[in-house]
Amino acid sequence: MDLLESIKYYIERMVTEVKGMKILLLDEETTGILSVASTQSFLLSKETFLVDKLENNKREKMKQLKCIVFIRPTESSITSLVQELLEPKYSEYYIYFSNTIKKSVIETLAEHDEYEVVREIKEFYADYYAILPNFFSLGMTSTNYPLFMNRDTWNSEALTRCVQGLMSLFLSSKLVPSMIKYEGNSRMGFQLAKELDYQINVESGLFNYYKNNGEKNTSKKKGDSDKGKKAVLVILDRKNDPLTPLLKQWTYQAMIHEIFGINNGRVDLSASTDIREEYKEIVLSVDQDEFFKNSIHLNFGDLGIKIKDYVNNFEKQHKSTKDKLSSQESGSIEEMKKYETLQPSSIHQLVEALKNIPGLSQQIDDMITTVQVLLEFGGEKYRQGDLFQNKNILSRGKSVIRGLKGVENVYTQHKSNYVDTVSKLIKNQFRTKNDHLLLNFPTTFQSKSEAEVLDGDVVVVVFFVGGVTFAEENDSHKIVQTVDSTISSISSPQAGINTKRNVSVIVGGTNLLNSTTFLDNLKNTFFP
Amino acid sequence: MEGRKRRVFGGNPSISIKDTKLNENQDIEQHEDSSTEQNPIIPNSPETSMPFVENMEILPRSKFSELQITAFQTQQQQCPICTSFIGTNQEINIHLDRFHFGKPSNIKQQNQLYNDNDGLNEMKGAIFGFLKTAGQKVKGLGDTITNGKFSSELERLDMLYSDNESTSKQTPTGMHSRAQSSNYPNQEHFETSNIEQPVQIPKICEYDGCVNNVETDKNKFKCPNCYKIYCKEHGFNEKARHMHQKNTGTRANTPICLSCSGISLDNRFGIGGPSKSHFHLFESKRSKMVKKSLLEANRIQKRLEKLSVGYANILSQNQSFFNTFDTFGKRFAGVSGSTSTSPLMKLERSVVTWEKDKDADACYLCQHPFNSFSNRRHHCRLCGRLVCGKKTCSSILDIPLRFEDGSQPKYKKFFGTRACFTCTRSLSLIQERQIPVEKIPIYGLYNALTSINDHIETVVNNLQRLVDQLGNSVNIQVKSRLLNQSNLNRKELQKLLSSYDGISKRIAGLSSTSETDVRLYKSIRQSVMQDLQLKTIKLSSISQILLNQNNIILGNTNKVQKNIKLSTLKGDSSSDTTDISLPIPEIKALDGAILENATNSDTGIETTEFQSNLPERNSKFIESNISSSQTVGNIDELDEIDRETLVEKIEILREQRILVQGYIKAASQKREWSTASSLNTSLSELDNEISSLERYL
Repeated sequence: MDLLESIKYYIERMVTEVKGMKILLLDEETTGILSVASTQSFLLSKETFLVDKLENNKREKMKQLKCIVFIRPTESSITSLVQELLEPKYSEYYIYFSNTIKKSVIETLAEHDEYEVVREIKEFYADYYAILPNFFSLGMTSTNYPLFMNRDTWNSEALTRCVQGLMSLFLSSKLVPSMIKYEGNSRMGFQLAKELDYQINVESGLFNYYKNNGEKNTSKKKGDSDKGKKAVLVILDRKNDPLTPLLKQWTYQAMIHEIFGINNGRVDLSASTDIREEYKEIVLSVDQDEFFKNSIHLNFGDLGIKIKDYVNNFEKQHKSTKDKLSSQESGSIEEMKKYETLQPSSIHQLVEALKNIPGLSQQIDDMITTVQVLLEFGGEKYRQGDLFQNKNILSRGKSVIRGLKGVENVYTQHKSNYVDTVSKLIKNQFRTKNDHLLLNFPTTFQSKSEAEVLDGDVVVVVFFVGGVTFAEENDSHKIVQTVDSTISSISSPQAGINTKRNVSVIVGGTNLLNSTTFLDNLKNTFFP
Repeated sequence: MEGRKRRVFGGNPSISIKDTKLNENQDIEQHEDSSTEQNPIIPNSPETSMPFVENMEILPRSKFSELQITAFQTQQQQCPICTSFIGTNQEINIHLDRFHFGKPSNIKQQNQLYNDNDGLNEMKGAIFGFLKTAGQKVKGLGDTITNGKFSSELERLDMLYSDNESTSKQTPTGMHSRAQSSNYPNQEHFETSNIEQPVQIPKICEYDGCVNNVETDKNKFKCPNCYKIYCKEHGFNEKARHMHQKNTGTRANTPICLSCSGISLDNRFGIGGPSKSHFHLFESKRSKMVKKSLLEANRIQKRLEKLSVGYANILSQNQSFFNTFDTFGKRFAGVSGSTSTSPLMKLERSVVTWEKDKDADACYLCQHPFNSFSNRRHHCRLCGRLVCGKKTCSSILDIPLRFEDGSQPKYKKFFGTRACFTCTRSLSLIQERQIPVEKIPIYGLYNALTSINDHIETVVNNLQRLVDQLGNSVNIQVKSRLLNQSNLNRKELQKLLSSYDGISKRIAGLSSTSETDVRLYKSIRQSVMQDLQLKTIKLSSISQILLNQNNIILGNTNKVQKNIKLSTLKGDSSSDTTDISLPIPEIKALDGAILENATNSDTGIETTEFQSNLPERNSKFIESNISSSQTVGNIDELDEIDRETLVEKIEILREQRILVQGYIKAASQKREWSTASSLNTSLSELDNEISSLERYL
């Protein structure tokens, strides 16, 4: 289960299916989808020499090139494509849509392809940003896909985008969505579940991954497994946990996103002063950056140690060339240190600084608005669940007993409440109806009872309506760990039968949040 | 019954009339008892055909061949669209249906289709009349053959066209198979035996990877769309069938196989999801559209030719007439038509009827209302419609002047005439299609580049094989022979690589006014450099192995020499070995040079859009280089060496040093500290190596 690989597979097929010199035309969104998962050198090695935007109408005629068009089936992209076909600039066109297309779209394209340049029209289900192998976003910002029509109601375009994104997620990873869970108090969750189920039903022919495969004999033994991996979609609403995006993100990647912002794997540092030209924009990729890969989930404290080791190591190795390189290295470290010094130890400095800021009252006004917005979005009366773990005596007691002693790390003390919900779901531990915060929306593919669906190997896709944070990705590993540990403790007494389950968790959301984007989105929505 | 009708009418369009006749003959023969089999029936004769009135669809064709083909056969015509197909009117009609017009989906459309080539109505009447008389002659069936029934027959025929578009036709293999099919009339059961279909019926399911037996009818599913045989498991699913019908609009309520529905899962077991192709549907829709627009374009082209000839004739008759217009410039030439007596107007109106002024109040393209001053009425000389004079709606088209015999008039080669945007576009459509493969310099160069690359691949594989053999063999003589061979291969590779590099440089050096061209050339060069780096890594590992092998041979020969203690022989053998070892430094130097180039220009090209993962490879390459250079050092210590080779080695090491420095720079720019650090260690090693060698000298 690797979302990055799934996207890569489609990209590779795209550029290898078409032989010869070629240009790749993308739209705004597919550019992002592609650049997360592919590199320029890879495209070059597959004879893809030029990459351009489809809507760029200043492109010159180059009949010696073939053309791959990879776009989302949005109205604007299709219009640009039609324009392109009316005056074809390249000799052959291979059109790949990142999602299912309507028959009318094909007809429109056919009507405008007078020069007969189109050689292929295909659906390749790469319609989401695969940030990490188990983490995705749909890249919906308040500008391109505003989420809310009004409170708890979808904007129809945003809903369509979500449905398409989730469809392509299932298809590209060959998952069969067996069950959809949504939070009882979330109307948006319900709408999404309903719409998604409808679409899955319409396109159910696509979900027969293994039913028609050749290995009939083996599949008989495996039973269910020949129908593709079971997936349970859990739709969560951000309003039930407005806390996580606001609390500081304390892991390496999350910190970078919080401070600088990560956009399609790239970090824009141009705002910082004293930075050399080549570092204005740097690339963070799990594939190519060993240090990043190893420390992506480290919290602030561990990261500090790791960086120190790294620098020490580096200095040892590079005594000869130390002068030049370590200065650069320490440049980025210094920023980290700055960040560090800004933390609790220097709070009084911060207060001093606050006093001196001109127009403070204006800012305080802003803050008040923000608080209002937050309450409006996820105030207690709109929430369900036990966000602060203070609802019943039991959990209060827990937190008192735990105090600060039981906490591994003060920075990561806050644990988003979805972990509990989802691991309970996987373990099927909801005892009472009241305890059961998730409602079930059976899909076409759910032929058995809930318990049976949740038994055995299962992929849990957690989707946050309203955005997801790196912290939640980080927590998803905890889910797998808790599930693993309980299973092994249960299964060990049973004689001889190893019932180890293969549970994996994919986390994603409408977009990738940090505190600023979260608040900005909300402000734009509720007080436009 | 159903099956046989298909067979008879499912003629492949490319099969000549003779062939079809033959098939009909066979059909009828097979249908007859053994007694009549002795006297083959001539299908052309109505009397003998009559017993088969029930099989009406046989008769129309035989009757048709008799009545119509003789009439049309003399007129061999070219297909108006592709011009590659030549045949009689009927053949052309079928050809057009199949290849250009898509299938007509109902009888009305079909009739419309044939209206232009008025053959069909005649044919229909003739067939219908014949059927009636033939039926009356036999059993008085004539009354039952109503027009409606006839239409339904034709409809079936139409359906057969659609079925046959993507597949080959079905012919019966013999009596046995027919008996079978009549025993199970409801079953979808076909036996295949045809020019295009393999005679052997596959015994296992054709789905990729399936081993199910499909010999028995129960387990068999034959896709009516692609005629492949699958087992019931893999044949079809309801959803696929549903989707197929929705997409293609086929009437047949038959299920189709999964691959025909467009869904494909090319990578069923690994990573990677399914994909779905819509090209079939797209193509069928497009062919209908293109048919229309091409017909229109052809029509306009014809008018253009008429105008061209007409203008040329008027010009030759009335030279002065044109000269006066010349003084006004081209724009006025178009207006000439408005003087009602002018020969130009006569000509133009004879080519196409003009729309009357009062019929149109606004331009048909921009809907802007006409008035007599600012927005005057203009007639398009090619379609006759009224347009306004705006540049987006109509323009003056320069028509080349030509006489009937193709010669050009002497004084004037072009004549300007107003044409609307639609007509200009239609014309450009035809011209665009006639443009041959572009003769741009890059085209040839790039082809050369790819072919060299292919060549390099094969040589590298060869070399790899040789090196493997070299490692496995023990015999020294065999070894040295293999070593020689691989060194030859390396020399070839060296040449190829340098020409690969050279061509890419030439591409990068191509001058062009367009910015995109320059970008294209640059990225081709970049990809070649990327490729070269990969190849040199492989090559350097090979050269290391070769060096080691060379070492072994050298060591062995030295031993032998010491044992024999023959100083003269020693000199010979050492010169031999240097011969072998010489190419290695050479190629290294070249690799180095290429690489250096690569790294130098690498930094020049912006790689901000995407990440580059080169440094990792670089470091590997350097490591291998370092280790090979160490072996070079070992050789040095082995025995007395030529001063020259030593100097050469120092040269190589120095080059490598420059290279490594380049890599360090690149790595530090990309914040690859670990790579940079390992590179630095190798740099210092290189320094040591060089200094020790220098001291040695």
